[in-house]
Amino acid sequence: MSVADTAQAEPFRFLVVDDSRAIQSIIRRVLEAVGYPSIEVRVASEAEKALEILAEFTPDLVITDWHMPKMTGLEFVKAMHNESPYDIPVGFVTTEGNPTKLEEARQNGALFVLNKPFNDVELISLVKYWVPIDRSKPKVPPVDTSKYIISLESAEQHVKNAIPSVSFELTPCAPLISNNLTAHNLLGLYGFGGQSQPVAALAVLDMKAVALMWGCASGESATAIKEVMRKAELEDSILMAARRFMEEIAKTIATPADKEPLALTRSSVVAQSFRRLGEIMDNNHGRADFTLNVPGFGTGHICFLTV
Amino acid sequence: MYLLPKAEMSGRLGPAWAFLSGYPREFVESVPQSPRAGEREHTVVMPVEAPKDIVDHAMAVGLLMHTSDAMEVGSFMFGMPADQLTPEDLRDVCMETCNVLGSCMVISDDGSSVGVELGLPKEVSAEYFSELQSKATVSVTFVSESKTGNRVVITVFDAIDLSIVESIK
Repeated sequence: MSVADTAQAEPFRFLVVDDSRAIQSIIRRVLEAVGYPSIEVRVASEAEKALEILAEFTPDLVITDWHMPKMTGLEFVKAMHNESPYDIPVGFVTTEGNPTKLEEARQNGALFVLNKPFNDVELISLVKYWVPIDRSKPKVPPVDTSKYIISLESAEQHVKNAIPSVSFELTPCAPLISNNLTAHNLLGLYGFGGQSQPVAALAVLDMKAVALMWGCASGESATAIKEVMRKAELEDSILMAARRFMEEIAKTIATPADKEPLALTRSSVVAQSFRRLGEIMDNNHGRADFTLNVPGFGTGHICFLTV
Repeated sequence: MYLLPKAEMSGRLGPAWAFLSGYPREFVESVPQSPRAGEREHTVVMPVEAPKDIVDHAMAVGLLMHTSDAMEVGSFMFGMPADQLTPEDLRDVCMETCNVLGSCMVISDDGSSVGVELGLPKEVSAEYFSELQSKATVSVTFVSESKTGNRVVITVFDAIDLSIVESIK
């Protein structure tokens, strides 16, 4: 059997998180009706259990409830984002209807929110869209990169320089917001001609991207990289590859014609909750957002912003 | 402020029942209904939470459901014969029924940024249910009766002493 055949034979994997076993059964029935050649469905009645399952099970899609004991579905999605090395697709099936909350769910990566009661066809169509039977990538609207402050080609080349012996995918993604970042992130500040003031641009690498650059550059195992992704305080040696990436890419950030090229002047680890970072991610003069995926190791986010 | 218009409730409850049981059933507005002595009915209460600085009393959704209806719903949801359902399965079914039917009556977004929130449903005793009903204002009740007289009753309680609802959390 070839590698491709093996991949084809892999079951489609789902994790259903709902405190009602009756709803778990309904969702399982729907998943069985989608038409996948084979599926593996795990269930959890509470978020903590789901996080335990995710430590050794990488599903194609997580379907979660909102109202659950101990931890809400939204808290679960945030925890999953921080603890899993991958961007695991997630959708909500819930009675929650407050638009403010549902928007927060979407901002935290929820692909869809389906309100109960629903009919099977609605859920089948959502699942089939986000987890296509032919394993193709879901058709998401293309990201407009024409105004990116760093070209995809340049960013790819610099990632390749940082992790030369590993195959990776660098994909333009929708503008990131602070909710998309990890609990701690590496922030780089750029100034014209290396002047620390004024700050002209920023680079943000979430801890998953930092860990991927460190681990893939130094030949670490997936387990070691995963460990680093969860850390809040990192030794300089771990940050080094990401810092070098930030330094070397500086001169390719688009700047006004009358200004000197940018140079990295400072970098530090900041919390996702750092208010100023969130403000700049929401309001800036230019940007370029990327998803860095290293198959078998994880998925991180990289963002460049001009201020 | 936090209730859907009654016509909309009525329009939503039937399809919601179909989601739970596989077939629609008509729900009509009714006077408040109490648990009947000797009936095999499940009683569930689900708190409806609002910020305490906006609402100084508790609200809740209450469900009365005959065991035969619970078994029918359970058989559909779990996809197994009714006689194989465990008491735990039926409890689960009744709590989810309260959750889904309750969400057809309560608006979690009242147009402001602070809406009410459905809490977690819990099975309670018939005595507790009756006490809650006696100490609350009943905002609205909808009933669906089967041909054999078994009933599914869904009620929104308002103006409840906070301590009563707190006691079941």
